[in-house]
Amino acid sequence: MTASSNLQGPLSVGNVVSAGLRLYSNHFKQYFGTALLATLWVILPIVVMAFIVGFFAVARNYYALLGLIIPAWIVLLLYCIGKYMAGSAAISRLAFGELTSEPEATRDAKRFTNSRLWSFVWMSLLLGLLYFSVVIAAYIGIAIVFVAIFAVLGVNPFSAPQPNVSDPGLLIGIGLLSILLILLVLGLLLWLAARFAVPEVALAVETEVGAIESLGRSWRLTQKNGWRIILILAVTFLITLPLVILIQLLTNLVQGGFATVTSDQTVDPAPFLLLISYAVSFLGNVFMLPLWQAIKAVIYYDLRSRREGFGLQLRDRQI
Amino acid sequence: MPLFKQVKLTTPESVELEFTLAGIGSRALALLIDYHLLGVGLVGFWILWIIFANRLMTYLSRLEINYSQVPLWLLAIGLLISFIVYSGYFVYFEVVWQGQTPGKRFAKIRVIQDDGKPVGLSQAALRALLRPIDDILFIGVFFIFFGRQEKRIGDWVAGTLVIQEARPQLKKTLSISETAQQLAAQLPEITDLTQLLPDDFAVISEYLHRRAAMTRPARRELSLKLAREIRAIINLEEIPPELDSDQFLEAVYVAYQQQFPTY
Repeated sequence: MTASSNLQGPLSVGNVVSAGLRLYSNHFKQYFGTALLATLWVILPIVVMAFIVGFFAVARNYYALLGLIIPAWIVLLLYCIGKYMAGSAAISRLAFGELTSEPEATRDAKRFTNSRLWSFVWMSLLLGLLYFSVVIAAYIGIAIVFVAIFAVLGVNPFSAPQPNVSDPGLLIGIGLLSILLILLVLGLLLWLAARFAVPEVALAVETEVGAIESLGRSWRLTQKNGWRIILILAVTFLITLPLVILIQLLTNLVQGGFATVTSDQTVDPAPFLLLISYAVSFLGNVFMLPLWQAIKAVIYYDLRSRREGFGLQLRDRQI
Repeated sequence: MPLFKQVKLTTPESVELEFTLAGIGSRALALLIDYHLLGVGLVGFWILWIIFANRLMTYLSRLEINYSQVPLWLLAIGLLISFIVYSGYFVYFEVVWQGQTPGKRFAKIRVIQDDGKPVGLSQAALRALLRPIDDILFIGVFFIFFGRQEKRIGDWVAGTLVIQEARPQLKKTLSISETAQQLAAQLPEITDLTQLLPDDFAVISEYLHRRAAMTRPARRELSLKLAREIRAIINLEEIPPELDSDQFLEAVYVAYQQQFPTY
């Protein structure tokens, strides 16, 4: 499909997912390699931290250095997160290039996203802050609701002899209310995730967009499309389930095999098992990353086509 | 490389038909919806069944007869009915709705036979009976993903395909403003509409049908750009100043449609 030349129009929920999956399987090596390199950056700060801890555990001195090492480590962490985000955004950029029939070399896509590394960091910090405040606000809201209920019922949880609240109807009511509130908060978070699904694609594709604008772009593009995107995310999750289960099975198999081999020896298998399960889940994450990035690129492309008539152009008269 | 797989079928009357395969996303979406509907239905059934069983047991306990076998039978009958509901749901809808279930209808996909005919009772039944096997460890997903024709085991055995429903040709009618209608009447005299190709008309039509969903700034920009380009193509000196770009495009749309009614 050369998306820009035919008038396919907006894609259905299922077709967004199929298109993302097809993009990934058509460019498996390219996307997987990019994802692997991007994810390796996340390991670096962990390894460095292990060395630092090891050093101070052995030396038991030079604690004054910590004042220098900790800020340096935080900067390293942020830089590595930026590298990870830029790498994974490069996958979205590559996928978007395929959709608009302007494919790009991996190196060029990475060069572009790397040049805005700190925008990615800044954007994800802002987004994290937003989710954090929403969760805190939800906690406070729920707490207020329950305090109000207890106040109405005349229960004081701090007074030692509890009044009798074993009325089953009341307990069921409170239980149902808690479930309802939790579902509400989860729904809100899901909806936010849908509205902020594509800022990194905007950052990876549009030249004049910065960190804050990318969040605004995502918010405006996804307007009136929130529930559709939630459905897309749900279907994507559903088709990744077989792989998640396969990976889980593999981990269990390896662990089980390892346990039977080492059961009669004096070696403590726990650290090895931990290492193996980390390695498997790491590979699993690397494997999933391009699928999500490709689907985000298709969501972004589809939103631009719906909301901005992207690709609606008359044929070139010069030819 | 195309993003959606196509199949060419030759019907027994040797008519060649081309279909786009449903794709894994649409099929997963349909399954998600169908299983939720089924889940609600089955939970409802079991609640009623348990209430019924309770009543029956209290009644039997008053009769002073040996009824120790009854709970097992109730369980067995309940399980049997559950299985019938589970399979019957897919068979019933796929036969009655010509290859669609509620989920498939929502996802705009349809089951057809390998030769393009609508599915019958036997195909729907085979698909439904093999569904549990396809669902175990998601075997069906791997078959759909790696197969050339996206067939799960049930599709292979029943000889069926799952395809995308063709987009309905009937689009909702456009609201054309009064001023645009007036200009449309004059356009054939003052411009050269033959310069406009069907492709260009299709772009105008797409824009006019989809503009309501667009953001305001993007819509204004696109409308202006299209209007300028169309004006140049049909050799119009200038767009009448009392018209905005949207109305001008509406006028061209109407005039072109009147001149070449086949489009």
